[in-house]
Amino acid sequence: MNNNSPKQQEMISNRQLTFIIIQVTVGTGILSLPREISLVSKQDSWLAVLLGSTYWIVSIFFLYKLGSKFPNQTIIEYSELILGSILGKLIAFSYVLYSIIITALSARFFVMVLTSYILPKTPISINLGLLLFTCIYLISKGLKTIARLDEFLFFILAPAYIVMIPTVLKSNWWHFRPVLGTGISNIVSGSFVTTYSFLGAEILLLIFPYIKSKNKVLKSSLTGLGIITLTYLFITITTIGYFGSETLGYILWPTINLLKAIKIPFFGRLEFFLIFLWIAIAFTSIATFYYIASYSLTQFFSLKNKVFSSFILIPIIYGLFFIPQNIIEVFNYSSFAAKIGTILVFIIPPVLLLITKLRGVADEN
Amino acid sequence: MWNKIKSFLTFKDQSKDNINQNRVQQPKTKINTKLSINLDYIKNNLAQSFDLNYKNILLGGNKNYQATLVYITSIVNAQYLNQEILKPLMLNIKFTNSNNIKEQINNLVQQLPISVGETKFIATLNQSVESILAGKVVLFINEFNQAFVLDIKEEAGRDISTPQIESTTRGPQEAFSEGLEANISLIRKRLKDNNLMIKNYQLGARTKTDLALLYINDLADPKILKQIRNRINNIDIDGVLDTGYVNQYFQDNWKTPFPIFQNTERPDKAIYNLLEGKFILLLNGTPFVTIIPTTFIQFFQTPEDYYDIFYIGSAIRILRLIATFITVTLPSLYISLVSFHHELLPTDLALSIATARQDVPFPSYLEALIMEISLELLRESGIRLPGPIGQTIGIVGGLILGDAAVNAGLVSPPMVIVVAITAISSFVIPDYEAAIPLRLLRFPMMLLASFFSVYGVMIGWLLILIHLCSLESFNQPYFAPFAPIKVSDLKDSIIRFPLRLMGQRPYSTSNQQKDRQTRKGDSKDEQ
Repeated sequence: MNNNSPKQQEMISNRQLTFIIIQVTVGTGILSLPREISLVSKQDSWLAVLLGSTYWIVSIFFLYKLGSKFPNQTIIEYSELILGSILGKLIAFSYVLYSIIITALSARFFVMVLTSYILPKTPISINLGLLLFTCIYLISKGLKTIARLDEFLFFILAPAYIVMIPTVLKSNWWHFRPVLGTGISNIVSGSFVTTYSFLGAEILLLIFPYIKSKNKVLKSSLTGLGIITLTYLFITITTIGYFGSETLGYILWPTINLLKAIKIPFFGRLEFFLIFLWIAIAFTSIATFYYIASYSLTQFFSLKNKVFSSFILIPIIYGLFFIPQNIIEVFNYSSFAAKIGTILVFIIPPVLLLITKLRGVADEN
Repeated sequence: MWNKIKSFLTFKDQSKDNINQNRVQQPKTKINTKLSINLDYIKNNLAQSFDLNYKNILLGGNKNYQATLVYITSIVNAQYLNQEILKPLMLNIKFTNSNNIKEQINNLVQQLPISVGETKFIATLNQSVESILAGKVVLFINEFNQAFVLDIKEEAGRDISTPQIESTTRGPQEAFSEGLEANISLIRKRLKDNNLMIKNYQLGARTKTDLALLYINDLADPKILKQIRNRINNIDIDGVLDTGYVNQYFQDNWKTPFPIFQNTERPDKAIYNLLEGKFILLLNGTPFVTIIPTTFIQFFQTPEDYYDIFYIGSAIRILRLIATFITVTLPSLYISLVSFHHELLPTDLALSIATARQDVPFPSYLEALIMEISLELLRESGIRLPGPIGQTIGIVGGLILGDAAVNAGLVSPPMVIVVAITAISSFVIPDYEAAIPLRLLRFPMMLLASFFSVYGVMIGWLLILIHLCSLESFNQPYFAPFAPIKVSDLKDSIIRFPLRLMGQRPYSTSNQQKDRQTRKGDSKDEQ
């Protein structure tokens, strides 16, 4: 019973998996998504969000199938089994690199918002330092703590969306017409824009061995995806309904600006309340990506512990963090990262699954 | 380097062999048939104690039967000793006719006319020394290779009184006291379950303190029981003076500021927890008993929550959680609002705060720090001083000092309000042990706020939450039922549901029976 003790102790329940997927996905993307998507899909953005989530249903199915082929290993380990050492190492390393990039990028988004709204004078490297310190503290406590924190924060933070409801009442429903007016091609290309915001479910590739009942993984991750889709739909619909897709293109962080419109007597600026809570939302996302990065790095180089590898990652993240010079470049890099993500999440897992079936590779246990 | 730091921060693994080596083990000496040899041994081991008494007597006045009673006068009931032991031994002995002295003594010892409930024979001198130190009278008889132990212990101690720390408005007003047996009787008289188990252990190589482990056999989880036993057996110290010692040796995570186990002096609270399938540790010599395992929310639950109507119980619970939030956050929020985000405040309020702060020479974080530290000083001095003087300190410190500081222009009135509210809130948290770390945590929070404003406050809370989520008490999640979420346990967390709806024992702590039998008690009146 105790021979596999570190894993036994770190097991997470399926409900916790749902919350991990929600919290890792809904993070920095939530602030920028409405603007980016409405630039492409205009009034039909909400259709693009729906379409975007359907890709993920397929993808999660493949991730699940691949995971259940190797229930006791992560992608870093079994990619070598499937593809042989050189190609397998290459694939594994690309996952490591990708998760580092996503960590740095979402940290950049986070610090950017922080700088523009809360701490305009504090150097961004110090803000990043505090963020990374907190992340490392969480990583040192392990996956179980991440799962518990995600679970807890979801219920604390979910009521934050209620604050936006007054704007729904003020929405102009003409902003959504004509439905399908932007054309199918624009909706499809809009759905690709959502990819960055939906990145996160690929955590399944790494934490699959730690999930208690493996056969329910599909259900719990799809539940998570459902809640994420609802969140994004809500955000997109409220922002488009209130601002209209034309105006939305000029607003940098529409979700925050939305709250400026709400006036509650005495409390002057409600959007600060949202930013305050958003810090926690974004933190769980960044920290989990950081966890993925340091865990995959640990496995790739077979290091001793995750905390050590997360310390190694600090300079790398700092380096990547300062590559984009301004906010426009950050958005460009995010679409670039989304492209890598598309390859790594939508293309490689099905290919790996196919090769597994053809070659008849199976888990050693 | 890394390994060095790590080994500094972690316990050294003490394997069991090591422990046995270190322990002072005296060779066992059997009781000799010669009285004088036995007495010499005892004198060598206990000679320095002035209250050790030897009473040489002749059994029944017969000089063939020499005997000696050895005891410590300060922990033995003297009246009982004279009346019920010495008198019968000297006067009422009946001799049997036998030529063999040994046989005669054996017969004699079987029917000693002593009216003491707890008696036994022991065979070694080590045991006899232990018995003497435990307040027993040991009777050595010449030509007899055993000793007779009579328990007439009488230790000085306090009577049962009302709870000192955990006073409640309602419910039983008896508190545990220092005597172990008195404490067990307080539990026994309220809990007449034949499954109540009381296991006895001895702790401390020198103090040899009695420790009792209480649980209900068919409710408590055997896995936790096994762990507790292991940890009790692994404790290796010279003295145990309070359950606090045991708690610290029991912790999985000893680097946490939060109390991992709850201590209580109320029997009703102890029994409530026993009925939830938890374990209770009673230590001789301290009125505080330990509840194992503990969840964080338990520190916000008081017995009267359950005695009052659930609306009142729930309202007070919510109040306590708000108080917790205020205790940790209010000064730091004030700092971040005043020194970073004045624009967040409504204009009128911002103006009035600015006017009040006009003459204050310090920046707000320094002002807050000064006030909070002086508050902690006041509180700590109030605790150490005897009651009436403590109140004086409260008046001098709170009223006069605060007022003078404002008039002198050292602090602003809004700051005084913030500090006062924080202080009052920290007293609302019912458990003193849990309140200390929470009220100390506001200092790092203030530091974070003075550098990073609300971002720092949020990060501070995240760090606290991460820490709470990671804690475990005997492998049971500490922050349950919030994380991991146990939906049915939430009935007894922020809101206290009506008792008849809480038909299940908590899922956060593993126990054997989930059903609490409340539904069967839900009888209808006859019509």
